[in-house]
Amino acid sequence: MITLVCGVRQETPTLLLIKALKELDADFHVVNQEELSNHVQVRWSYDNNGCKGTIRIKDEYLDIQNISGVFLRFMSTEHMPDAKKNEATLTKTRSVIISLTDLLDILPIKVINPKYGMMTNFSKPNQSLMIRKSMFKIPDTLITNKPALATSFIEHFNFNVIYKSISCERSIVKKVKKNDIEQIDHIKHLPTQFQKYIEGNNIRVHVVGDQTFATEVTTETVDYRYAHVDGDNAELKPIDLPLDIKNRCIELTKRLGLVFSGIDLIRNKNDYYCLEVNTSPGYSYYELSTGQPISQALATYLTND
Amino acid sequence: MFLILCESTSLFALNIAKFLNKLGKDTLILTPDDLAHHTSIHFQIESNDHSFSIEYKEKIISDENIDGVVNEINGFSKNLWPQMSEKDAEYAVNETHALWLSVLSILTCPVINPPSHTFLAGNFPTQSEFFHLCHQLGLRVPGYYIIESGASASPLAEEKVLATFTDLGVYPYRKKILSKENLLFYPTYMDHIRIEEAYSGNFFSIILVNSTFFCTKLGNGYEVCAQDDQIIPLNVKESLLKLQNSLNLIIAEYTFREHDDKWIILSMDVSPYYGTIKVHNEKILNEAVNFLTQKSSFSL
Repeated sequence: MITLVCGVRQETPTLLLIKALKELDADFHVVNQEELSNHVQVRWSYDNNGCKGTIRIKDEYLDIQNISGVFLRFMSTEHMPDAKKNEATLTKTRSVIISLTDLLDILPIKVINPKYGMMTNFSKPNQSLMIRKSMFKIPDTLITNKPALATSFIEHFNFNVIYKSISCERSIVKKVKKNDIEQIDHIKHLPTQFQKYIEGNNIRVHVVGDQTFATEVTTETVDYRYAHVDGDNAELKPIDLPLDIKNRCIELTKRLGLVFSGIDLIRNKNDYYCLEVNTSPGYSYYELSTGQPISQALATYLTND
Repeated sequence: MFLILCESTSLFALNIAKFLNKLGKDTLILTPDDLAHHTSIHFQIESNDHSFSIEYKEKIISDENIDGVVNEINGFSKNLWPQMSEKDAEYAVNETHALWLSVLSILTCPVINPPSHTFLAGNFPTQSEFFHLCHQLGLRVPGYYIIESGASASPLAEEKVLATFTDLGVYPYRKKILSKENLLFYPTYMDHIRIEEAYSGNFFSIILVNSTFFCTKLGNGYEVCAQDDQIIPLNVKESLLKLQNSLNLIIAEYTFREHDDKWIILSMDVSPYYGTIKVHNEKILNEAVNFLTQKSSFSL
């Protein structure tokens, strides 16, 4: 049986998985997004008797019945440097991606990650409502476009409040400063998400099936992903989580319809707050800093019967 | 209070509002522009609690006093923020969408249609997912092919097989339907193409509201003629009920072709065509209102 690795070959998470699959001596093929328009063709059919067809990658033809697992990490076609140069390349690439993902949506195979699970981080407050069901605490959150309400929330928590995007649009999480109140009227134009800042240690938990890999991040920066921007360092070390927290992380991943997740926790004394679940985590940063075998777990999950 | 979220031209949602008003129920109609620019919002989430309220023209409505929602707004347009740059307007679109997705998801009152993972106004599976689900639930579906280029599809067009040809590269959600002439005269078309079997035979629409069926025969020019729902084969009814349930929809319109005595499902739309609603003389609106006011009936 064959595993497909779909994404940009040179992206580090994809490279690490390819290396892990090679180490397992697995039968796999890379569907490199940068080569889709020239080297990949998809031909399949569906009728009342089922689904059949082939995927051609360069000179090799794969029977879709032999695919057992897929790692899916395509990026938006608009962000591909080559696609921008040529509209025909862009539409052709899109058409290959649609042809492939339409197929992967209906094949009874292992997919990291299933489409509907991936969509659960589109709305952060909506995801928070699901996180609560897995018995994690979530920070007190206010979304509003009323300056007076926002001010009252910020003052209630004595300025221990951060603001961040509501959608999955990437934003740098920042703490509200005293002089931000002077510009609070800006939120009238667009509702803004404010959250109580939770003191404590950042923990990133990667879940792969029933396995967990926890990393503690020590930094002075509110959003450790951007510690370097603030001239700060982020120190990463693997830690062991209490069993009930591990189980909650696994349960939450399944609740969201995912196989692989990157869960952002903050440990505050004995409480674990869950900030967010990344549905396509850039796990390589953690693996390369701590040596945790996340790519190996992904490769094993995808290739095991 | 019933919340009606729709474009100012939406006949279905606005007629439901009228119906509710006739029953003495209060309604508040909000358009995408109202939601984006004229509504104040307060949405608070804590570990064990949440609350939500909106303020519009001095009316304040909290989650506790919303009795039901009809939502036909599936997304927001960048044009709602003309003063912003393209990038900022895109950000505003995503933020507003994400906010209303969470608001609609927490409501415990009846909602037509409940939001799905990313869509505000119901569930929108891809055509392939939809046919796969229909097939699993026992409905007959058209066969289709995905083929690597227009050049490969063109001989089929030449053979005049009864089919539709769709360019999959143009836009994921509104794929461009190609004419056979396009394929014949431009066989160098290099995008992947979807070829779907087409059928002749009687063309029907079935609107399913909660669990009540409304059948309409459609003419080639979209002339409409209401039919008794007994015309629908029982197995089709049973499968449609399961389908609507698995899509978590309250109202949707399905189209079928009756070909060789078999009903073949062709499409689904969460916003029914108003012509097919109108031909049933308010019965569909009445059934939707019954659902919103929790007076549902069941018929098979």
